[in-house]
Parts: sequence; C-alpha cells; structure tokens
Amino acid sequence: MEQKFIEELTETIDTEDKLAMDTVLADLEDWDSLSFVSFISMANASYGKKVAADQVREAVTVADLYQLVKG
Amino acid sequence: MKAYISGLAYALPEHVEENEKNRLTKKTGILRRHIAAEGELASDLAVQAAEKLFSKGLDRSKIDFLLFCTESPDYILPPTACLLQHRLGLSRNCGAFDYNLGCSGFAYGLGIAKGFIESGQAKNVLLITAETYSKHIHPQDHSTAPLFGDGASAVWIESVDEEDPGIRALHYGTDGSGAENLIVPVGGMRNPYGVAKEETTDQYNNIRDNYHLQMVGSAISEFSLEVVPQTLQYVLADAELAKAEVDYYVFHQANNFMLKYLQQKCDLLDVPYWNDVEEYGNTVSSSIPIALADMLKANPDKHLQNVVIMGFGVGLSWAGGVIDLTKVKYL
Repeated sequence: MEQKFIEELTETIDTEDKLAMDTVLADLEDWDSLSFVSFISMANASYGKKVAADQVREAVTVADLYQLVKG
Repeated sequence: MKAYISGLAYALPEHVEENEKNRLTKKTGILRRHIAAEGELASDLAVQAAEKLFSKGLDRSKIDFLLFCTESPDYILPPTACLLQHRLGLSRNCGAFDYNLGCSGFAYGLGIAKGFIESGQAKNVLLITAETYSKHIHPQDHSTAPLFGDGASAVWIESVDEEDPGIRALHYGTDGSGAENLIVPVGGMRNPYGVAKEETTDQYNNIRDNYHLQMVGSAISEFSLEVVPQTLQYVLADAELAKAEVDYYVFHQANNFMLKYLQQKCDLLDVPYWNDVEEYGNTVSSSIPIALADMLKANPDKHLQNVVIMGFGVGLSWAGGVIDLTKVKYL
C-alpha cells in the first residue's frame, strides 16, 4: 500500500528523485504548485479523499501526504 | 417537434503560440494554442465560425434565433449578439442575445435552444460560443497563460419532426460561493476600470493583478472532481443509459491531467472518452463543440446517438446532458 502510494506520487508530481516515506517535500525541486494541484486531484480520483489545500500545505514529508489519503 | 444539432463548425485565430516544453506542458498535454491578435475579438472569431457553417450549406436566412455565449464581449452594451445579427446578415425577425458563461456555456446553450424550439418559439437556432481568454490573462502569468487558447464555434440546432429528443437529460448546477476561484475582478460595476491595480508576484515570478484572470487551480480541480461524477450520475439515470451504452463521452477539454482524473473518478476508463487538448488548450465555452466536431470527423462511421457532454468551470457553474449527433449534416 505504501509502495503503491509512493509510485503513484512519483508519477503524479513527475519527479526523477527517489521518494521514500521520510522524504521532505520542501527538498524536492518538483514539489511546486502544479504538484500541489495534482496531488489533491490524485487523492480525490484514486483514493476518494477530499483533501483541503491547507492540509497539503501543512504536510512536511511524503508520510504526511500518505496520512491524508490512507484508510 | 424536437431540437437536433444539424451542423457544427469552429474557427481558431491564425496565430499559434508554442508552449515551453516543461513540466506544466507535460502535465497539461497542451502543446500549443491559437491566440487572437491585437484587435481580433471573440466576435470576429464568431463571424468566421458562422460563415464556415454557412459555406457548408446552411441557409442563414432561415435562422430565427441567435444565441451568443461569451465572456469577451465587444462592449459592455449593446449585446454582441445584436452586432453579430447585422454582421452575419441574419433576418431582422431573428431574436438575439448574449449570455455570460464559460466552460458550462455550450451545454446551457443547447438547453436554451431546445427550450425555444420545443416550445414553438424558434425553428432554427444558431448557437455561437466565442472566447479570447488570452486578453484576460496577464502576459507574465506563466502558470495560467499556457492553459487557455482562443476560439469560436457555431452550432446549428433545428426543429425536426421526431418523437425522440435530440437533446435530453440536461442537468445544471451552480455554486456562486466559489466565484472568486476564477475571476477577472476589474472591469464591471463592482470594480470599474480606473481602480487601483493590485499586483502580486508568486515564487515562480508569475505576475497576476486584479485587471486580469485570477484562478485558484486547486479549488477548480477539486470542484470539478466533485460535481462532474455526481452530475454524470444524474444525466445517465435521467437518460436511462448504462455507462457502456453511451457512444462517446465528450467533457469540457480543460487539460489532459484534469480529463484523466475525471475519467478515473467517473469510472470511464474502458469507454470512448475524448481527450484532445494538444493543439487548442482550454478554449472555454468552445471546447466541447470543437471536440464534438473533431470527434465526428474522426468517427465518420460510428453511430453517435448517445453522446454525453459535460461542462464545468467559471461561476462556478456546470451542466451536462445527452445529445444525438446522428442528424448532423453540416460539418
């Protein structure tokens, strides 16, 4: 589940960096406004989760994003 | 009598702008866009699209109603539709008005046309959508400019002696609480021309101000993912169609990634679903008719009796329905 999420996130934000659960989003060059919008759409379309922009803004690591969509 | 689409044509400005080959372009799938020249207005594109339709055989003297959908009118007043009646040489016994809608505008136009025709008030409605969003967007807003292209469509809707409707199961929705997520704040009565310019520059050096289009992309995509699947359910239930019985799904062509997320969310991965933004970008109210015309040309042998359309955007406003394209003669 975590692995699938990481793969999907990598594709969503279209990054060549290797992502892990403890990757800090601010360290990613590709974590920009476009990735932001894409992540919210991915959470909705793939996980059926309505994630607010503020929640994404507060996320520090990949694990924080995962928390927003899981369960 | 029932309203059917009989002809479709579209016109694009000659000038083409290539999008930079960057992350945004890869995501949106929009490679280039047609952009109106200085002084080239939505009404000019409207005339081109309509003349194209007339040149295919539609007799303009038959038109007894003109509907014009735009957010880029020539003037505050008079209505651009009245100017178009004159420029296109339409009958003086022809009703004409503008209505201000964006991406939901085409579906609304079909609803209005159906209403006029099936209540006996009109026989031949010319529905024109035309937009020049490029004039609303700040030239240094590189996050918004690559998404939108200019263009116009002209669609002829006629009264046909049939029992079954050619335009049906229309469902509309509105949420004005989201109005500020897609807005040009200055230029109307609330903030007339001359008010102080309020400019912001984001971390990527994109400049936006209150005189130009301001879009909150995340809010718009969130809204779309919420209302489109729901409205699709209403439309299919009303039309008594199963998902697989639909011949084609032609949604508002916002951009590739939005269309893909909607396809996934609506569970339409294994059905004919139009996604073609490469050459045009988001042409607002013209995106569905342009896509319909291209789809018809690409599928000359396909029986297109049940085509689902869905528009969503500025307002916030949305609308969808089912159209029968088997009576299209002029393309």
